[in-house]
Amino acid sequence: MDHAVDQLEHLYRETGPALLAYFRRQSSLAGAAEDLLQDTFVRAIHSFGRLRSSVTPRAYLFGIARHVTLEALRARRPVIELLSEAAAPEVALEDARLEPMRAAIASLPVMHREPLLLKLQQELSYVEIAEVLGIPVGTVRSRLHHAVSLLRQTLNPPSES
Amino acid sequence: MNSEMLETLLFDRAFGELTPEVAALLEDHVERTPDAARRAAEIHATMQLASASVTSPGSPSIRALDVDCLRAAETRMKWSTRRMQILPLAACLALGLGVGWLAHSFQPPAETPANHPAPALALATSQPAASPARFWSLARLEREQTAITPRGRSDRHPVDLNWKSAAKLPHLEEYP
Repeated sequence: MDHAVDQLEHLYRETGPALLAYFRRQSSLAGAAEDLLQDTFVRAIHSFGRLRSSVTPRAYLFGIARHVTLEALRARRPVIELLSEAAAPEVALEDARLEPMRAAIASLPVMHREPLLLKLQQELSYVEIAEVLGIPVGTVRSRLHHAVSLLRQTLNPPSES
Repeated sequence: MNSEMLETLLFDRAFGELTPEVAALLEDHVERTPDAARRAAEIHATMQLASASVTSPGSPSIRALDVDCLRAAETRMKWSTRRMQILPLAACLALGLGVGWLAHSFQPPAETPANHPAPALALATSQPAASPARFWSLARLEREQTAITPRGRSDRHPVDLNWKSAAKLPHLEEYP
């Protein structure tokens, strides 16, 4: 089983930074992001067989990270939404439309916001997002389309007649 | 192409999920159709702005993976797996031993000679004089029936077993 540890080390180097960024975007968990990252890989070794048979190891690790995040958020506060707000980037805003867009994304329902952020921030494919969230690919597709439609209306509000 | 299908394809295009063939066909349609071009431009702008609003430049640096922790977790998992394999086998073995002990405890009594009928035509002179359990004993039948109708041995004629009903005991018949 040293082979499993070696493979996980390789995945850690490849996917670790993206997973760490994912944890740090949860504003209430930013301080524990590295511990959550290590916890993700400890859980991955417990289900190494499923990791190897998943669509992509990256998607499977993000799925574990999502569960780790949910558990950590529940432990900190009794009721909290996953990704309750899109975390602000560290660079200064260059476009005045960024803040309204960020607010629009934060106001999306969780079922639409979550796949959108996985797409925009982690650049996962439809199939990978489906594996992370445990939903069909068609559902991922329709939720993403609906999310972008709503955001498009924010940028281009229909003119009142 | 209807409006809904066009919009769906434009979204897939913005998410990079179209195959190269479909992407080329859609590109051609967008170039030739002003309305499609306008929608494509809106969706593209929305995606660009949304992506810029939620992504931060650069990748954060991470500390090294705690390999010792991983190996410890791996060892715990191995022992847990072995325990899960051994426990059912032990349970089956215990169950088998229990069933075997119960079966041995309730073994039926040893078979006695009375349970075995003697061959029908065997006149066993070495048999005990009185053996009421020997249903098939011709010697017994002969003794019983000669006791009822005593007769000298010289008067004996060859006998045969007459047993017409299973509900009745057989009796011996002499040939004339």
